[in-house]
This record gives sequence, structure tokens and C-alpha cells, in this order.
Amino acid sequence: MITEYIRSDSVEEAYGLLTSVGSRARLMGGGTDLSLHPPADVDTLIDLSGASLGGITRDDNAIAIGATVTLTEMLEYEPLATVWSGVVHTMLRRVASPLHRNAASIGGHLARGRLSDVVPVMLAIDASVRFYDGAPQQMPLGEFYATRRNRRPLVVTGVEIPVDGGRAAFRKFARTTYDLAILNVACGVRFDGSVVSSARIVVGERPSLAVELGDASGTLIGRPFDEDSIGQAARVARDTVDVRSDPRGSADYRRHLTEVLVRRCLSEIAP
Amino acid sequence: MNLTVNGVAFDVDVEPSETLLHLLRRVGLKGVKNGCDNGDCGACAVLIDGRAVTSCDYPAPAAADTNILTVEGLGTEGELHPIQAAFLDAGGVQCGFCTPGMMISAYELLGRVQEPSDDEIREALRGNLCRCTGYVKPVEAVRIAAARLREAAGG
Amino acid sequence: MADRFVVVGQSERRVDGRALVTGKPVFAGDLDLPGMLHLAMLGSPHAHARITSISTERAEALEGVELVLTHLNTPAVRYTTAGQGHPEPSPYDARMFDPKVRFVGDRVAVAAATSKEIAQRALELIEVEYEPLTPVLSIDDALAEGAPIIHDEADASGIWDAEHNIAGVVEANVGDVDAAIESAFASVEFTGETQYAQHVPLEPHVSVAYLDDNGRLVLYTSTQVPFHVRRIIAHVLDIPARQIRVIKPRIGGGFGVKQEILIEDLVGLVTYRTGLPCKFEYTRAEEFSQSRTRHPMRVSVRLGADEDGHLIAVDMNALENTGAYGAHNLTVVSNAGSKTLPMYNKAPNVRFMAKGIYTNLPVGGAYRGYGATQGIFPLEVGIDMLAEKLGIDALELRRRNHIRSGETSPIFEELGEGRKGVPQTIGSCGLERCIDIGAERIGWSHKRSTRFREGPWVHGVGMSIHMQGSGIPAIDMAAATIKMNDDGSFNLLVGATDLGTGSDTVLAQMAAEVLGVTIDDIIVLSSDTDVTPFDVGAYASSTTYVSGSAVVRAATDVKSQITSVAAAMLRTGGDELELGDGRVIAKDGRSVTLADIALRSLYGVDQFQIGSTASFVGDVSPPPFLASFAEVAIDTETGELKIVDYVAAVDCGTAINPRLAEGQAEGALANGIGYALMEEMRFDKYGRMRNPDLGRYKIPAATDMPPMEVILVDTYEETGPMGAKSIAEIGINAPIPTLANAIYDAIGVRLTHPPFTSEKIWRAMQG
Repeated sequence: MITEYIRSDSVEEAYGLLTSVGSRARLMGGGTDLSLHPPADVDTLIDLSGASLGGITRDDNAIAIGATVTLTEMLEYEPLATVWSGVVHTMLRRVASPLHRNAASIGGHLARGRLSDVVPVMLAIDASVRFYDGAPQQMPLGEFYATRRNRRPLVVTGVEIPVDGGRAAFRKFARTTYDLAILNVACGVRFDGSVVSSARIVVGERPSLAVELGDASGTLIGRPFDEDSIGQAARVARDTVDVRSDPRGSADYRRHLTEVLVRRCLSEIAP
Repeated sequence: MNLTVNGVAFDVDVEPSETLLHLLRRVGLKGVKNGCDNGDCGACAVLIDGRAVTSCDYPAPAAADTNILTVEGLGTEGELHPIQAAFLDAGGVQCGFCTPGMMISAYELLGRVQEPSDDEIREALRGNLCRCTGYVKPVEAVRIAAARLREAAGG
Repeated sequence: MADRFVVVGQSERRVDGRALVTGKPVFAGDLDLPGMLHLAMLGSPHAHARITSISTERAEALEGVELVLTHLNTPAVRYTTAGQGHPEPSPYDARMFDPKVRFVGDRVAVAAATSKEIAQRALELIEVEYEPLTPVLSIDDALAEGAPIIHDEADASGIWDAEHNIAGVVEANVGDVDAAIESAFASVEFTGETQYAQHVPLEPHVSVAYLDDNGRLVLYTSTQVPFHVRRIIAHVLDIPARQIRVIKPRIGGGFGVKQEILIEDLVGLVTYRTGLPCKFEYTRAEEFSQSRTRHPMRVSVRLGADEDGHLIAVDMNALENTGAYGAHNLTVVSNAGSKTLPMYNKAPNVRFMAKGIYTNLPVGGAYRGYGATQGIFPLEVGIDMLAEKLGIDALELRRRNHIRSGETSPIFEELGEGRKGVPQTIGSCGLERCIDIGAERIGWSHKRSTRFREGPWVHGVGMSIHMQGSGIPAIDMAAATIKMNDDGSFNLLVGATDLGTGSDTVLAQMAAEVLGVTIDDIIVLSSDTDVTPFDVGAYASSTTYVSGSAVVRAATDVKSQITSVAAAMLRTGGDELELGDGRVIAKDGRSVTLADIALRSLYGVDQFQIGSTASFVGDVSPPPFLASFAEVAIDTETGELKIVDYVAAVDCGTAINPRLAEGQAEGALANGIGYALMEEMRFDKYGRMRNPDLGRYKIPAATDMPPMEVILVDTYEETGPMGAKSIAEIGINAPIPTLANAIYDAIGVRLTHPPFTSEKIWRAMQG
């Protein structure tokens, strides 16, 4: 039960509170990120809506989104409809419902990592996360999770999406249109002419935290992008992905879906 | 803390653990319903600063200095809002328990999109679960409301 | 048919709609009274256990706690929670609080305190010790040799064979099915197993109790059965029924889960003992596992036919999981046969054998469809299988065999509500037209058996036919009172229960039709046991047919009283007069207004209150009929199923209010689609429900709904009020068999276990 609610108007102050209260504290982005069941021992809410973490800016190279920006605000931001094949908007339309999107913040999704359609897409399009842990930091999102940095006390302050002509696609496979995914897949590819210069194949809701399948992505690099290379990447993805069973789907099924969804995602990306 | 609900200023004491749903119901706004305790069904939806959100998982203290609209603020005693009238005319109300939340979601949609497609209407209502109607007539109601609002605006 | 009537057949706005769209506090949970206590319930953590000790001292000592109830301080009376007429055809196997608990969540204690939070804290202070017993978590476990006995209490009654966990048994037999199937030209067999599901009314169960100024107990409760509540509470709490008043306010959905006396005993007893008002509202998790559910059923069907495709034998065997208590077990499992088998009435050999089995799992109750939902699945799949075997089109086979106007079935007499039924001959039957219209709309002839492919998607079409009933004949009674007011308006007082269905409106339309007025002239008051006459309540699709007939009788009597006053005023014979437009009009054109008549009869000459109370019991239960068609597309790589198109053609007799009737059918179909594709309650090995919330238990959302059309097919039922039958339940039965048959048409696999998830479809395709 929440016994303390604190509105913080600076990131430094919020971080200080977080470290002094410890695991009993939960940050919230000005809406609520609590709708996916926080642990029962959380008793302190630190509201960041006054900490100037809202707003979306862009320059020639990147789009920067503040941590308390809601998923709806991202859906209403025009440039995200075109960069990376508009994949951010494609994905957001599949997330939960407008009621949820109006309240959920990008910072909340990135901090939690799991149970998200947003995170796989951010990983696939090479996003970097900005956070404060005593000093302002920025690192590639993949590294943020791979090094388990996200588990340490910190305040996510924003995310930066590179804008450089990359293409992407997203697939969400769920039991219903209003549900978490059984599996979701996001692929981001950059081309140098007709050859692939970089690729990220990301699978989420495995059911664990989304992860890039490096071996599969690797098979695409330096080659033309065609049915054969796509087929091979999808098969490697299926063979290397780590999946488990849970009430939404079995491990076998998730493994099978990996090949199908990776193949379909990659097929959608055509130079 | 201070907040404005349906145009009326409130100065209330709230517990840190209190939800916005609980606060609204205890100040007399019974039209905001609790369907699931969990933010899943949308029966508790209200508008906060123009955005429809579930109130059952929204901390009451976070609503300080906001402008809230509930179903009670949609029309007036004498005149129904076009959305309310449309729900009645189209048969979009059966038991009525999900209706306030649905109308709030519809209100936000129609404030931003003047001529929504049926798909857009369904997506706007996705977070409002209903067990009575199968959504057929509620979607029709929103379509009718959109048309009437366009007409009233002279377009 | 619409031109036959003036008000009936119009899609009038609901009479109670304005309060609902303006958010007025008209639901039970909206009532707050000074000094009100709030209840919280402690449920058993064990699926099967004895309570060896329980101490509430520390809980009672907590500030704000008024009372704690356990088996030590509450009546030991055995009863059934089923909201059925007296004597209830369900075992008396429940107690308010039992020293034995029989499912996870079964009642252990209830605390009443000044706030819900304090009541919940009080529960944590209750000290309970259990002796866990081996839980029985499936029908097969319950029937196994040496299975633990779930109901071993000495004082239960009405249990068929408690020692073997059999709550109820029903059988019906005509001819010799075994011999007939043996000698049949073609025979098929199919077993379908329907799953645990819950009604998910958006408003959970909620009840308020208070003592009125004369010390009578008032129950203001979300119920479908106010009169059964009064009777059963009187029995359980040992309070005379005359000291109890039950009022039903607006209800946020029921679908059968509120045809149960589930929490009124708790609020009633707390108020009676403390003198204070109190309220109890289930949480969503409690609503899932501690209220009532669909009865899961394993139903096997065998069919035998001659070479012309005429059915000669229909054999149905149903094993029903009734959960920890037997409420509704016998009647639901009976309906698996009684509301399905008559549809194929010409088979001379028919057998039905059914058992309700206890398990240590949540309790089955009344749920829209009431057994027909579970029974029709294997029957309609069996018919498709038979058609395939015989090389006959599935529609044609049904056309050759389904019941028609003027025909009967031995099953009507053999199978009733857990006992013998009532013979009847079909009056109105639009099933033939329903089939034709639906088939045309879905494009049956050019889509069936084509397996049209579009990329990885393969298409199929499937269909099924359905019947239900309209009330329970010879048993269910409804009454209505109409009285006239000064201004020519009428109060219509009905016991009938509007649970969001719109029955207040429909009944007002029927009264208005007879009295020649508009529905604005009819003021409806329903479901108050002190004020409104008796009605069994809203179940068995009875309100339009049974309650409506009572309304028509009362209105007809009031009409003749009005006419006699008008005749005196106009100095003419009563048979020269017609009612219409709020007037009584003579053949020569002279008229008086109803207001004139009222003023004269109340204040003027030969004063009397124009009014009447009339009752109705049905001799028959004329079935509505429905033909359901769906086109599906299945992604052969993932098993994902999309419903491309869904059509249901329904014969409900006269649709008193077409828009409300469509709304009933649309909602029922949506619920059925959920049951077919996405809904299931899941349990762990200890009998605990794993998904008691709306995030993990999926019901259809607006974007899950396919393009769907409900077509009302016009018929006129002579035994029905203004030709009406019913429509409330039938739609929910359609999607499982229709989609099962469509899936087979697309990919050639017969699924036996709904929900038909994409993973199940994918696995079935792997072979």
C-alpha cells in the first residue's frame, strides 16, 4: 500500500529519494505505470511529471523523447510516422488501448523492459537510453539490458532514436487484439546500396525481456537482401532464440512463431 | 489538494494510497464505476486534462491541479450531450455499467477526429469492455454522435 | 408484422436509459447510508479441507470491526443457493459457513467493519487451522474408485449419490438407440468438452442491507431473482418472509450469475444482528472464482441415419462438472438434452443420459444457454460429420431432419427441468427461412468446401442450427399490476427483472399497445417484493413470453374497465368502442380522453380504481430458432483464426422492440465468440484459479468483434403475447459449433476442446 506520494521537480532529487528509500520506491511518469501490477512492498511513489522530462525534439540526426512522454503523445508526433518505416506508430497502435496509452510513459516501458511492445522496437531501431544515476548517462538500449544496468537504481530521462534512413518492421502475435503478445518481433535494417550494412532482429515476450538475436542478424550483413537471405536469417533466429512456456503460449509454439514472424518482418522491409 | 471536476473546484484531503476512482466516488460522482480493480476494463475511465484514463489505478494525489471530466459533466440536467443522446437512440446502452467509461473514450476521440472510421471508433473503445452489447450498437452510437456533432458545427 | 401493431414492433428508446447515460447512482453499489458497514470475505486457501479450529477474537478486537461471522456463530441450515422456484430442483448441500471447505475460495469467515480496508485487515487477524484433504480436481478423479467424498455431511439432501460424488442424474429413453445405430446405414460419433468460463458481468455481485423504520430487513441487491431471494433468505436466516423486502435496483449485467442467492445472506445477517446498514461487493477476483461459472461438460453424441440421410438414432451422454456445490446441476445438464434433441425430432430412437459430478473447483451456476450451449456443440458437429459421410450437403441434411411447425418431439415430455417435461407441439417455426436467409447472406453455395486460399490464409464456412425455450412451462409464473392515474397514465408494476435486457421497456410497450397509448404513458416499477406482484425472475428466456403475457392479461382487463366507464360517459355500448391515441373512440367518431375517464372514475361518479392484477403460467415453452453461419480464414503458418463474416438469422416470434432484440442477440453472440475462441478459467494443481482478472481472462473487446449481422426473421407465435417468443439466450450457443464446423471446412481438423486458440489450431494442423 502506498504510504508516501512525492512530487519531484528535479531528476537529481528524484534519484536521491530513490536511493535513500530503496526498493520500496517506484517512479511514475505522470500517468501511471502501475497498471501491470507492481510488487506489494512498494510503498513510496515518486512522481516525475514536474521534473521537465516531457517533450519530443528532433534534429537532423535523431529524435529525442523525454521519459514522461506518453505513448499517445508519441503516436501524435508526426515524424515518427515516417522514420524507420513508421514502425513506431505501427507498433503503438497495437499496444493495449488508448486509455492505457494516454497514461503509460516511454520511460516506464524502458525501465521495466518486460511486458512491452515498445522495447523490441526501440532495440531494433538502435535507440539509446538516457538516464541519471548520480551523473547523466547515455548508452545503447541493448547494452542497458544486457549489462542489467536497468536493474540498478536510476532515473530514465529519455530515449534517442537515430534518424538515418534505416527501415524497420514489427509484428505482434497475440491471443486477442487487446492483450500482451505471445511473441513480438521487430527488425531494423540499414542498407548500403542493395547490400545490408546493419541489421537487428529482436524477439520479445519470449516471455522474457526482448533480446537481439545476434547470430540471425549477423547472417544478413554484407549481403543482398532477398528471399534466400531472409529465409536463412529467420531459420537461424528460430534455432537460436531462447523461449519458455507460459499461460499465453508454449515454448514450441513460440519457437515456431519466431521463424514465421521474423521472415514476415524482414519481407516487409524492402529497399 | 485542489482539483477541478466537471467545472467545480474541489479542495480535498487524500490518502497517498487512494485512487482517483475512490476519490471521485466519495465526493458523490457515482457514475464512475469499478469493474475490475485493475485498469483492464475501462468502466472507471475519466478525462484528465483532456485525456481519457482509467481512474482505478490512477493515484489520487497525481490528480492535483488537474481538470477532470466525468459522465456527470457531459451534458446538463436539461440537455443531454450528443454522445449521450446517440447512445440512447442507437440502443448502445443495455445494463449501462460500461456506458460512462465508453462515452468518455468516445468524447476524447470525437474531440480529435471529426469523422472517424468504424475501425477508429473500435480502436478508441478497445479499452472499454462490455459484456452486454457485443459493441455493435455502441459503435453505431459513436458514428451517429460524430455526424450530429459535425452537423452542429456546420459541416 | 410491424403494421399489425402501433407501439409493439417499434424500436423505442429504453425507459430507464436517461439515468444510465447521465451516470445517476442507480446501482446497488452506489447506495451509501450513514453508519454503513462494509464486508470482506476470507476464502479457503485449500480446495478440500476441514476447518479444525477458528478463532476470531483478535479480529473482533480491531477498532472498527463490528462483527465476524464463521460457522460457529451462523445458522447451520442446509439450502441451495440456486435461484429457482420452490421446491428447488437442486440439492440442499450448502451452509452459510461450513466447517468443511470444498473449493479454493469457499467461505471461511466474513468481517463487517466501518470500512472495507479495516474489514480486510480483520481477516488477517483471524486464526484458522485446516486439516487438508485430497482434492478432487476433475470429473474423472471424482468418479474414480476410492475418490474422496466431497459431500460427506449427514444433513445434506437431494444429492443423487454423495458417496460417489454424483450430484444429479437424469435419463430419457425412446426406442432402442444401440440397436438402431448398429443397423444404421451410416453412423458417427463425436465428443466435445466445453471449458470453465465465467459470465464476467461488468458489475460484480453487490448487495446492501438495512433495517427500515419498522425494523424490517431490506435487501437492495443486484439480483435476477428478488422473490427467490426473499424466500430463501427467510429460510436460511429464520426470519419470516413478511419481515423481508427485496428491491432490485439497476443491475450491471447478470447473464445468469445473479440467478443465485449468493451474498444476500451475509449482508442480511450482519444488518439483522448489528442493526446497522451494510454493503458487500465482490472484487473481480472473487467474482471469478467465488461466485458462479459455466458448468464444464464432456458431451458425447452418436448419430445414426438411413441412406437418405434421415436420422434414425440420436444418443447423447453428458458428464457435467458442477464444482463444489450442486446448485443448478440437474437442470443445466437436463437442458443439454432438452433444448437440443427436440430439434431433430423425427429420429424414432433417442437416448439421453446425464450426470452432474462434484469436484473441488468453483461452482457452476446458471449461465445464458444453460446446458444447451454445451450440448449443441457435439450434436451440430456430429450432423456435419454425418453429412460428410453420406455425401450430403450439411444444410440439406439439416433441412431433411429439423423440426417444423405442427410437429412434436418425445423429448419435450421426457425431459424437463430435471424431471419430466411438458409435451408440446411447435407453433411458429421460422428455422427453414433462417437457414435459407443465412446461407444466402454468407454465400454458402459458392464458399463451402472450396478452401479458398489467399497467401497463407485458407477460408472455410460453417454453420449450426439452434433452439431454446421461452420460460419453463407449468412451473414459472409471472404477474403484473396496472393501475390508472388522473392524467390518463398508468403505473405498471411487475415482478419481472430487467438486468439490462430492456424488459421494463418491452413490457411497457406491450401494455401501451393494449391500452392505446404511448410508452411515455406507462410508468414502470419493477422488482420490489413489497410493491410488485410475483415473478420468478429473469431466467429461462421467460420475461417477454411469461411476464409479457401477464402484462397483456392485466392490460386487457384494464382496457375493459376503461371501456365500461367510457360507455357510460358516451352512452353507447362497450362493443362500439376502440382505444387509441390516448382516447376511447366510438364508432360515430365521438371520444373521451383517458384523462377524462380517470378523473371521472377517481373523483366523479361510481368511483373506483381502474386497475388489475393478472398472472400467467405457460402451458408450453415455444422455442425461438436460430441459424448461425460464419466464414473464417485461418493462417496456415500460425494457426491464427479470423472470423471474416458472421451471420445469425433468428426467429423470436414478434420482436416487441427490434433494436433491443438485436442487442440481445448481438451480445449473446459476442459472448459465445469469446467462449469459442478465447475464454477459459485456468487452474493449478492445487485447484487455485490462475487468471482471476480481466487482463489474463480474455473477453472480446471492441476490436475483437468480426463483421456480424443479426437478421430477425418474422414469425407469429399464437401462444405468445402479441406473437412473441424469446431471444435472450439462444445466440450464445451458436459460435462454438459454427466455428468448429468452419474450421473443419477450412483445414480438415475437428477440434474438440474450446477455446479454439491459434496454438490449438496450429497443433491440430501438425497432425
